[in-house]
Amino acid sequence: MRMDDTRMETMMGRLLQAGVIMAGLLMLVGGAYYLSLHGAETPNYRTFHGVAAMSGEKIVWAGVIAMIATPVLRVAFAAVAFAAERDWLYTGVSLTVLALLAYSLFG
Amino acid sequence: MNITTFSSLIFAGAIGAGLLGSLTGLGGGVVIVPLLTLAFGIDLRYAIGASLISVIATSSGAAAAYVREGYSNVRIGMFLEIATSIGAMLGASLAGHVSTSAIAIIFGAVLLYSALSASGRETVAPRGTQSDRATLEDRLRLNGSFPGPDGPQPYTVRRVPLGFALMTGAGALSGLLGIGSGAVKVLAMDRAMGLPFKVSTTTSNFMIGVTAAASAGVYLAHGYIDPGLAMPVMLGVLCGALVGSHLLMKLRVSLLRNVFRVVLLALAAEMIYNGWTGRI
Repeated sequence: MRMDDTRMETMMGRLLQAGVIMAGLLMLVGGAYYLSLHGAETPNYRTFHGVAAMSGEKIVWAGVIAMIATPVLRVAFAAVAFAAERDWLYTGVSLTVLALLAYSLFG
Repeated sequence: MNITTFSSLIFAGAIGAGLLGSLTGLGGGVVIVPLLTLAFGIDLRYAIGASLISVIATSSGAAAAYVREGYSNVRIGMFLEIATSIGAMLGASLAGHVSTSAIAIIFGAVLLYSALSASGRETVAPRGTQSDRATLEDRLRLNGSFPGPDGPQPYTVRRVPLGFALMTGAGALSGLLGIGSGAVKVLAMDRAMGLPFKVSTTTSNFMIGVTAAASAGVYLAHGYIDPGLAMPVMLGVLCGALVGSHLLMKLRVSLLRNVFRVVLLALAAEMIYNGWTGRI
C-alpha cells in the first residue's frame, strides 16, 4: 500500500475519531449501568480512597483506558506510516515519543 | 446527596466548562479544575486526573478534523511531542511532591496568563529569513505548507531549540496542572518558531492529546484517576466543546469572549486566594 502524508493524515484523523467515540460509548454505557446499581449511595472524592471493584465501574475503566490509549495508538500509527513512507528520521522520532509514553504508562 | 445527583451536577458543570473552554480557545481543563475544586470541594489531584482524561478527549476530537484538513504539521507536532512528553512526566511526578496549595497558586497564575494572552488575534511575528546553508530546520524537515485561499501557503520554521525548551515547560505545566497548556504551546510555535497562527493553534491541539496521555500515565500509577469522576467530567466537557465549536462557527463571539474572560480572571483570583490561604 502506498503511503503519503495526505493518506497518513486522513487515517490519523479517523483513528482519533474512532478512539473518542469508543471511549465515550464505553463511559456512557458503563456509567449508566454503574449509576443504576450504585446511584443512591453517597460519593466521596474529598479524601484519598482505593479503587473499589464495583459493577459497571470496570466498563467505565475500559473507557478511561481507551481514551488514554487513543493518542498512544496515534503515535504508534505515525511510526508505522513514516516507516511506510521510508522517512526514517520521523519513524525514529515517533518511536522515541512512543517509548516515552510506554515509560509513563508502564514504567 | 447521592451519586446520581452528584454525577449529574458534575456533568452539568463539565458541559459549562467545555463550552467556556471552547469559546475562549483555552480548552476545558482550565475551567473544569477550578470548578471541581472550588464548587464541588473535590481533592485537587483527583480534579486534575479527571481533567486530563477530558483534555485527551477534546484534543483528539478536534485534532481528528484539523489533521484531515491539513492545517496541523504532523512532523513539527511529533518532534515537539518528545519535549512535551518529557515535560509532562516531570510535571506529573512533581505534582505528587508539591502541596495542593502551591499547585492551586501556580494554576491561578497560569490561568491568569492564559486568559490575558488569548485575545484571539492573528499575530504577525517577525518571520525567519531564508538562508542558503542547510539549517537545523531543513535537516529536521520541519518546514511545511497549509491550505490557504490561493492554494498551499508555504512557511518556514526558526528557533527550534527555543521552541523545544518552551515545549518542555508547556508539558511540565500540563502534567502539574492537568490542563492542555495550549496557550504556552501556541506561544512557543507562533512567537518563538514563527509558525503561522492557524498552524500553531491546530498543531498545538494535535499535540495536547499525547502530552496529556503522558501525564495521565503518572496520575494513573498514583491512583489519582477515579473513573466515577472521570466519566461525567469527560462526557460533559466533550458535549460542551462540541456545542461550543458549532456556536463559534455560527455566532460572532467577540463580546461573549470578553465576558468569559472576566469569568476566567475571577476563577484565577479564586484559585490563588484559596491556595494562598491554604484552603485548597
